[in-house]
Amino acid sequence: MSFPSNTPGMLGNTDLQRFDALIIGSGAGGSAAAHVLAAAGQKVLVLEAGDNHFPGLDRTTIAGTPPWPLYSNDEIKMSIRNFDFQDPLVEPRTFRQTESEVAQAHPDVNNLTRNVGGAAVISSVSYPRFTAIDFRMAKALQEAGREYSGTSFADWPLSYDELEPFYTETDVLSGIAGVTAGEGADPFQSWRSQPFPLPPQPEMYVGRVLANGAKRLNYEPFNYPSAVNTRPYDGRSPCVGCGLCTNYGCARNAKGSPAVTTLRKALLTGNCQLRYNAHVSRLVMDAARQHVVGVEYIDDDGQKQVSTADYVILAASPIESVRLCFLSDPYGPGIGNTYGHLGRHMMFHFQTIAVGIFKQRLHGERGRSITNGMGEFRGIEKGGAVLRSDSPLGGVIEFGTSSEPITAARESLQPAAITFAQLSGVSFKQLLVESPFQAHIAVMIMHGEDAPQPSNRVDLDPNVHDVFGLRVPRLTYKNHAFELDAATFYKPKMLAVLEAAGAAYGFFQPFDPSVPPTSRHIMGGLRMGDDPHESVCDRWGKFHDVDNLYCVDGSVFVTGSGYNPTPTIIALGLRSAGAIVSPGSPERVLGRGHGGR
Amino acid sequence: MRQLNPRAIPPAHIAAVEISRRQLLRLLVAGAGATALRLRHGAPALADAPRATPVGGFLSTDELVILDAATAHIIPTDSTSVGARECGAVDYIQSMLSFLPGSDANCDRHVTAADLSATVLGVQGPRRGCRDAGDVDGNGAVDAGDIALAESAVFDARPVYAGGPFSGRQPQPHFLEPSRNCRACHVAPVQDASGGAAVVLPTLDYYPPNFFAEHLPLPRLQALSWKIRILGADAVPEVADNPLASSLLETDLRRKYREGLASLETISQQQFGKSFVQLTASQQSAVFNKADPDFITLLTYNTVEGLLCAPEYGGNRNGLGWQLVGFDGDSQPLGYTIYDESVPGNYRERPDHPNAGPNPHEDCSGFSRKVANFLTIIAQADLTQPGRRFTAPYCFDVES
Repeated sequence: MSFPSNTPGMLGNTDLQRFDALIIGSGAGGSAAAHVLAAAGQKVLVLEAGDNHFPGLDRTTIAGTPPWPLYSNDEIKMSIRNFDFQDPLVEPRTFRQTESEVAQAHPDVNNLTRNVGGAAVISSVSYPRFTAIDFRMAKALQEAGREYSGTSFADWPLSYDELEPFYTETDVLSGIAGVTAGEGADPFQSWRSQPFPLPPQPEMYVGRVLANGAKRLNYEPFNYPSAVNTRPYDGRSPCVGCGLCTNYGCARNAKGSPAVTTLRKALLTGNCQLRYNAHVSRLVMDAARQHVVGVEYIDDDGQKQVSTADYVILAASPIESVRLCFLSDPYGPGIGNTYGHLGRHMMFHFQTIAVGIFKQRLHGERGRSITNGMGEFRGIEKGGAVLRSDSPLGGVIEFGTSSEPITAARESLQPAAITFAQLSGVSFKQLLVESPFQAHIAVMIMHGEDAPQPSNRVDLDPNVHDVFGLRVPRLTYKNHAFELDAATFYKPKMLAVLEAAGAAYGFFQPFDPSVPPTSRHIMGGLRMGDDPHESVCDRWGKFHDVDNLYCVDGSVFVTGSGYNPTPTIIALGLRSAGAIVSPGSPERVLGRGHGGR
Repeated sequence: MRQLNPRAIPPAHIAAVEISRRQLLRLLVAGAGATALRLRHGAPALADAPRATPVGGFLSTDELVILDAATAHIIPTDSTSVGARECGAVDYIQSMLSFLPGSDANCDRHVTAADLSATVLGVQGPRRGCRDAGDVDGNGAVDAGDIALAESAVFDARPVYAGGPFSGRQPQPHFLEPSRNCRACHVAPVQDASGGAAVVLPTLDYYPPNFFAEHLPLPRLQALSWKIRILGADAVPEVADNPLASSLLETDLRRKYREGLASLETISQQQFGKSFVQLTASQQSAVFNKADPDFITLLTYNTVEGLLCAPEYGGNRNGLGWQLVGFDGDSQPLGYTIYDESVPGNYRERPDHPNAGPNPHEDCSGFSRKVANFLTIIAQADLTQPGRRFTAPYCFDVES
């Protein structure tokens, strides 16, 4: 019996030989699609470039509990030694600001992690929805007479109302905790058909401190929607607030990450097989480049393999999905690039990070990652359906801190910090012991919407190759005045919140445009739309140009909104997969194969 | 006294027992509030952490002496507190440099630090036909260096990536989780009163085994990456077209340490006519200023890691580094919010380590004068926007 898997490098049903679907990437989008398809009886093969740190994820246990993972409160492993993150020593990327420059290899071009379950596994799993106006932003800006030259705002080919049932499904599958209405709810979110399935997170110290500061200025901070268990849910244990959360896979599976939710459900059906350490190198196309006939990958022995399926779903995250489209058409324009949109309109969120240093220790090493935030700087009216006329479009604000002493110590070793230390006569040891950048730090992170621009794009670098000999992605990216001006507008307001909260010192993390963004919110590149001249994928995520190729990761986003993107990726993945098994009425798949409570 | 499990623990054993939801609920109700939470203070497990032994490995005894003095210069010991020396930063660095990316003594095609241990200790000697099994130092050839290393003193191999999820330093919370799993639950099963399925009851005194002592295997890409980190880009022909493999700071570590430590000694002899270890602190600073700044940065990074890493990596001996900076260390599986359905909000705080407020009687008076000056300069000198020093700082008092 080969289900569950006893084969190294595989999870799920190793007996499966013929596949309906082949999904590239086991992250938020790929796992959502795998869940819907496997529940509908499709035979699914998932190829994951990274390693598996969830041994036994495909096994049934008491109360449906996933086994303990290999993740832990270990800063060396998770933050210092690249346990999960794409490693620039073997898989570099290059960056430049404009087309006229020669791109340079850079160790972090918004690198995501490579692991079973994708980057959400090590994220804070902060899961707010996009709001209604995000899906018709081009029209809203036009109606308001706000024009920004060089941008490519467009309306999404679907509305918030159409996506709402899939958001609700995402809430249930991921186990999202939050406040639905009243004190602690986000007044700027749009309507929701169901309350949050889990009660809100207990506030951590820094969250309370900053929220109190915001309240003093008459803002309405909210309990941040988060896929972290606040009670036993779906066979997974409640969060204990261990402190090491962002950058860490949860040691007890309290995070409702894709691995332990959608992907695990797919594996348990017996209809899904996952191969990890399987690095896809290209799609094998037919002569007309309108049909995918196979997928070539390199296994953990360095050997080339080819797998086939009736249809193929890209879910490798935008930079890698776009790269595959170029790698798969070395002598042509790239798969899906008939009208020149492949790899363009990339968005990352323009993060403005205000740092407050408090006299008291805030104990960031305790509690969750993000428990509180505020929405007033998004620039929309309450209800999320109308632009504010007096403010630019910014983004949601997360109230955060630092939980990592080694990483914080490296901050004290930045050249500027060393200069300041010499000026003030403070020793390195004194900075470590008094720990202003870890124990005393509060940060406000604004996920400012960055305007889509055709010139912000991913293609292949002509010079640099990865360890497989494949050309690496080259990012060309420069911020637009749209988001830079918004940051300037909101910065004094952010400092005012820190001051009202009682910070002793406040400043901003410097912004350096010559360094690639590190937001980990990666969107665009295979933009969806109804007009094949203006987009790569259609409203279901299917390529206009290819009859059996889909995309279900953040690549299909049309605009970036000002909220964390993952739940929207999941909702779109559920919807696209639903449309594959139930064309025209994807909502028919809702509620299937849950097994949760 | 609990003992750490020094051996790798096999992959997850999954409980075959099934438990009905009704039984589970009953147990949850019974467990809630049944016993007051009894916390052990002072991290008892840290005293049990792997002891630093005289370490054989890449750096020679002479080099280790210089390295020890250099780490102690970065984070010195003073009259009131420990420094890098007491924390064993040297052991951390020696362990890292002695990891041998080419050695696969277990022949499982996954390389871990345990392979080195097995090879060097001769517990499991190189087998014929194994990939790279005889190449102890991973330089691509079986040569005299391999024999010398294998014959050197006991090497206490440390993980490149420690296992998970728990270190055994913290107890299981006393609530009964529905997510029990026998990998981490070695507590005796309790028979349900109705004669139903056996279930596992975590108790207050239950500490999980130390999974951090495991050595996780490296898949092919990570093994190649570590080869670049330890031996340099020249050891991996596949990365010829990647400029980062030869330019990033944390690569080619063995060469950088061998040359860097030698240069500290050379500069010391030239400047002061003495060994680096015999110099005063200000003389050592002068040597640091003449040395390659990249090496000093690398050394400082690794020293901090050796101060604050989980003790299983060789440094932070007995948790002294964490104590120095006031960091609680790894807190799983206990954490800081204790799930309890009997209280509003379903969570209780640990009175001694609250999640939502300051410690009892915590000093909130702020920073020393020098650190305050440092922060003032940063706030005023912010490079892009004028910073601000707020006028009325106070210790925020969270209402209880």
